[in-house]
Amino acid sequence: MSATFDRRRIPAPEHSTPPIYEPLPSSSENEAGPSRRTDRGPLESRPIFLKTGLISQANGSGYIESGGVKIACSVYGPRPKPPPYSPQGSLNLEVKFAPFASDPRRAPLRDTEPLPLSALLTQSLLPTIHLHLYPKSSIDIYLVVLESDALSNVLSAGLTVASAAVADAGIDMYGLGVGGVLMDKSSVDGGVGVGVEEDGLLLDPSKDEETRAKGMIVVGSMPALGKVTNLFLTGEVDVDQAVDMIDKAISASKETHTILAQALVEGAEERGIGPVPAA
Amino acid sequence: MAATASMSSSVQPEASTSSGATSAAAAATVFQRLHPSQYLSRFLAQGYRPDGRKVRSWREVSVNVGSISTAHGSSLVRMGDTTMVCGIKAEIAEPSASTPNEGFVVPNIDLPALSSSRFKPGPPGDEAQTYSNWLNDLVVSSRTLPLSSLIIAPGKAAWVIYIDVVCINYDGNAFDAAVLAVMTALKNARLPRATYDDDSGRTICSRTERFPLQLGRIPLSCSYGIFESTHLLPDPTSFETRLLPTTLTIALDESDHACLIRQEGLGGVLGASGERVIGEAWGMAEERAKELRELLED
Repeated sequence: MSATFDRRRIPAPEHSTPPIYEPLPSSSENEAGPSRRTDRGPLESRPIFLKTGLISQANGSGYIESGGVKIACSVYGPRPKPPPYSPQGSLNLEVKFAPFASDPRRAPLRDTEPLPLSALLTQSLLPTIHLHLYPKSSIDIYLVVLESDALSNVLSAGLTVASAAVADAGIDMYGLGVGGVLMDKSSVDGGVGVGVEEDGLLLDPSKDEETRAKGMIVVGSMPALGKVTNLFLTGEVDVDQAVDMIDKAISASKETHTILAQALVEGAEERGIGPVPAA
Repeated sequence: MAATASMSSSVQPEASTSSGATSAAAAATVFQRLHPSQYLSRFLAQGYRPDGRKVRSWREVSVNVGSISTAHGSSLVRMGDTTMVCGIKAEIAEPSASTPNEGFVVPNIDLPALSSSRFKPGPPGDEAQTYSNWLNDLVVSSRTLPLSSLIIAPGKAAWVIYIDVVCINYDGNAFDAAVLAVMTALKNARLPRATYDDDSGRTICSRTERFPLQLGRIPLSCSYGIFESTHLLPDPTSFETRLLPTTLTIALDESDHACLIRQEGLGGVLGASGERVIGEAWGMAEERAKELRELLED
């Protein structure tokens, strides 16, 4: 314990636990029954709010609210990189959670989740950027998660907001990367979905839904080019269904792509850069 | 000389793309980068600051409360371009043996690499550590959150209030914005009613009953910089901060009593006694704190 004593922050008591709530009255649990989405269709995603250019200090920035996720992202660069010489630009991406961003609280230093998340996001974003145009430079992308629900949603919203910020910074890209999440709940709920949701697939799952998922897939894609940049599948899904899930996630990503493109145009107009005249 | 040439050539593409008006703006940018302090002093000579406000005025402030659902209380403050988010999280811990009747308050300010190119990723830097300490002094010494009010069962269980401030956009004067964010978030916070069960030794929280925190004095901070020992500049931006060797911070509570006064750097205003400078700053702080307090009430 004392080995990891943190002198750079105001010390907290060595041990503290998040509040434990009294159990729910058992009757209400029964009444609720197996939960099903009531607010939207199974293949409908939650509304997305996306805005670019809010962080004035950065070369490019974006802010996204998607379901229970709020992420701010800023891009610094391309900025000169110290030697050794590199023929390609390098991409550094760091995800950070605000301590209050999730339940329970994420204590700084004890939080191990951001690292793999940063690696995954880097992989999703890497194919979208023309790094060969930026020799001897680095592009630094920082994401701060202010509120989060499901981790898959953080990943997909993170990719969307990061490519918005990169585009806002005026960095050349092949296409805009967009994230999509799809989960399969078919057998876990004991066939609840039968009738209403024929194949038991859910787009953009909430945290409750994610915990009951049988399998889940996060797809990073460039809808404008029809290309997939990264796939992240967890759980147990057979091949045919996985392909079906990818297809559905990609077609859902097209809608997000429209929102992203719209946000970029609005951001450019606010900055006083008019629409590009048709050649 | 060589530096000048490379600097202006790097700005050149922007200038060459458009007409006279924008190239004049580009020339101003070059001047600002090469001779920042002359740039600032020319503005001040005209009675204005580079961001368009009068020399003795403050930036506009807006507050948005309760937008983060994962926190017990939260607030977003924008002071000009400076943006701060504060989230309050409450956890339960055993009170320390020396103070069995007190809970804990743990305030921290984070200035992540996201917020400005001057910060590096990794553990908190000097500036963030300094501000965290100031905030701790302010909250603890002014008894904003009386520790005795956080007790659930003496010696057994008490609340730990984690106050975390994250800077999203750093355009100077982070401390004032952080203090306002903390105070609005504390006002916004609602904790579940907790009871300690002697038999099981556990603390159980109610799902329905919530209560606000008992707040004592609510200090608000006002910061200044002194430029070239001549100008007292309230609410400095990120660009100005670098040119201000002396900074002054005054925090006042609702009855205009001081909770914290900090001066950093040697120097004052030429031809004015320290007493007069402090008095002037204090007077301006009283007015500013009154304005900010209105935001706190809504």
